[in-house]
Amino acid sequence: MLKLQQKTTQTMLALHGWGAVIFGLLLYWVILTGTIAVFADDINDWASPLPAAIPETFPLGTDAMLRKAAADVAPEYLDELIVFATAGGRIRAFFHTHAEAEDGEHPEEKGVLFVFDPASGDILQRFEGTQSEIEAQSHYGKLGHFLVEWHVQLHVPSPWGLMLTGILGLSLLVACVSGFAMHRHLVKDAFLRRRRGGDVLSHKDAHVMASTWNLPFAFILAFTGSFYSLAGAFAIPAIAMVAFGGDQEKLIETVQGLPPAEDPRPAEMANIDAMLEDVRAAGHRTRFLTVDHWGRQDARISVFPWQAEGELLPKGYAFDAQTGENLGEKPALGQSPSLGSDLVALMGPLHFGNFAGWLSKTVWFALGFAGAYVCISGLTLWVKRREQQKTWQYLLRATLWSAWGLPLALVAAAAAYLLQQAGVLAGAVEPLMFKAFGLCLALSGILAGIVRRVTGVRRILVISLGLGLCALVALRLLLGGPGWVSAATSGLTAVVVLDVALLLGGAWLLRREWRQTLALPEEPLIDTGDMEVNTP
Amino acid sequence: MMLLLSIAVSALSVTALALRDPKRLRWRQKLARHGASPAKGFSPLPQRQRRWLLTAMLVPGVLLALAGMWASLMLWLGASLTYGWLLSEVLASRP
Amino acid sequence: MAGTRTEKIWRFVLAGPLVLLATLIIMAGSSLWLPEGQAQVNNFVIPVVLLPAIWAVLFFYSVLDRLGRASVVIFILTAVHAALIAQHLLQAQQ
Repeated sequence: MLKLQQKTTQTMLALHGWGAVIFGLLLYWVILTGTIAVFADDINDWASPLPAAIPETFPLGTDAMLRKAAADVAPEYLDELIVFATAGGRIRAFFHTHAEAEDGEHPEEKGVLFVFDPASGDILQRFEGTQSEIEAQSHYGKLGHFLVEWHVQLHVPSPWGLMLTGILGLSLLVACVSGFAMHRHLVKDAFLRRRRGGDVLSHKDAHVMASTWNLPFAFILAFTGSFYSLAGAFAIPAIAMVAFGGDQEKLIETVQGLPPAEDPRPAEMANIDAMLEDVRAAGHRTRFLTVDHWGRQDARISVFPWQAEGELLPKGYAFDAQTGENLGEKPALGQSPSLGSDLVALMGPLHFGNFAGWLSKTVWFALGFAGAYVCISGLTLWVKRREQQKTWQYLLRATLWSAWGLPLALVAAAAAYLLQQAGVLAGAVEPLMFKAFGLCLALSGILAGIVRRVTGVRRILVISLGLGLCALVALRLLLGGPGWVSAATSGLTAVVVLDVALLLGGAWLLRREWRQTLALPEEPLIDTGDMEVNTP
Repeated sequence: MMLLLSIAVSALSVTALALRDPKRLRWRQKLARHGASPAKGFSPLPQRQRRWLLTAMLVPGVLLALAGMWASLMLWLGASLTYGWLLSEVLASRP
Repeated sequence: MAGTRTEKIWRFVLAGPLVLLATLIIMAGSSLWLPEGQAQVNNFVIPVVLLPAIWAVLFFYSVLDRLGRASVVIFILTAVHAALIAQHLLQAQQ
């Protein structure tokens, strides 16, 4: 596309190739889990549905639920409250305060978590303790959380995991720029996909074509992703250090506004249902809400809705806690609109693709899938070009292991979640998911290492994944999950759609593997100037 | 509605570009010489027409941007690019 | 990226850890000279949002330009921002 000096092209090629060899496999893990995590909420709805769909995320009666819970917690936990929906449309309300940790530096949230059935208003679960203690006990939404944590920080503790994914994001950025710079016929080759068995040309076209179409989004996702990781890992602490002299409170005040003067006198809270109705009337569905200083004169309430149709940037509304008056929209950062605030607000929808419901999530899933495909096809191409060098065959095996073993291990983790929910497996759900995931990954790794032929590795793993996806649906039904007819009549869209998607995915993989066996044998290549072709 | 129309216009342009893409057709011809079925009824598009179709593919995006319909713009871009990739893969997988 | 072994090692160190460090310092330092805007957030939010872009520009520059010039330019940029930060922190202490 660009006319570069030969030396520059060589540098770009080296960056692209060696960057992929060093970061490619982990990058694939992050991209694949991120792609699936686009549907994290829906996966949670699929794994733990309520008997019937909840038409409104926060229905009439939310106010009563919160009041009931507020009356049941120690006064210090009324300091802060965050309420959002979790698996199946259940409502999670976390009343908490920021307790000083033992090291005196990293305060941890401590309080009471309630899970409500929004249809009846009943408290389904109540956990008390620090956030990590609570998270260890609760299980609703854990399957989606498991996926998200792989994507965000590869389950490595903060800030190291964020730094790692940040660097992976930057390496994707380098791959995008170098790939764009060194590819000479970006538009001309957009439809060129020469399939001849599994030769270098087929692999090259597969990689180049997918990356050409995926380039704009790969760039956007790499940029926004590395922003999220690096901002959390060290950019925000560094800024707090420099611009605010290490004064985190001053930073928070600048971003959120000065808190009203402390006024701990008790005060009756306005009706939250009316506020939610106000937001609904403006064409929004509430995503989550926060309350500071519940039941005090200085209480503050903010409601954050999903984007209305046609909107890209998320919004937030502030309410007067005593009168219930809508104080209007509040910017993402600061007290008045600004470029900085808009840029930060833009990062979310661009990265998560959650601004237009199923439609945008499907598009983002497809784009993420293409990104994962680009990773694997690129690594395969690298090895194909070095087919005579035995060492690189290990990378090919590792690539196949990652490509198919990782999704297979995720299926195993999902199966563990379903089994724990049904009471078949005892114990906390997260360690169980880790065990199933680790065991499956280890087994597929051993297989990838010992099966004699590389094509055999792929075959076994692909067939296992295809069968695994179908088996997951069967397991859900066997364990007493809602059947398709009852799910469809009860409006449990996520259950039906994800079941169908899993079955179609499984069937497609099995069919694909079957067709691979019928593929044409490889033939030697000759180069005919602008286009390489196979000889007869 | 605007969104659907935009995606439709771009998808049609991409389809026309793909079906009559010179490099793709040249490859199919070469395959045909070795026994595969040729791409019947399609001749490579002249450069000028390819440029027109390329413009038609991009115009909906420009219009959405000018109208400030940013959510639709992102959806249009994502859907069109995904369609382009899938179409190319499907066309290549035909025996 | 051709050159002697020492040059290659220095190029690697420059493009890897040093550019990452330079990015952090330039990002933090630019919060001191960028305009705050009416909401008083632009000066420190924009550098954080542009962090990947700052890194990418410095990284590609460090691998594509002549090694000596790239080292000097990146060093000067970093030093200026480090000096700004030091001056600001010293002032805050007084």
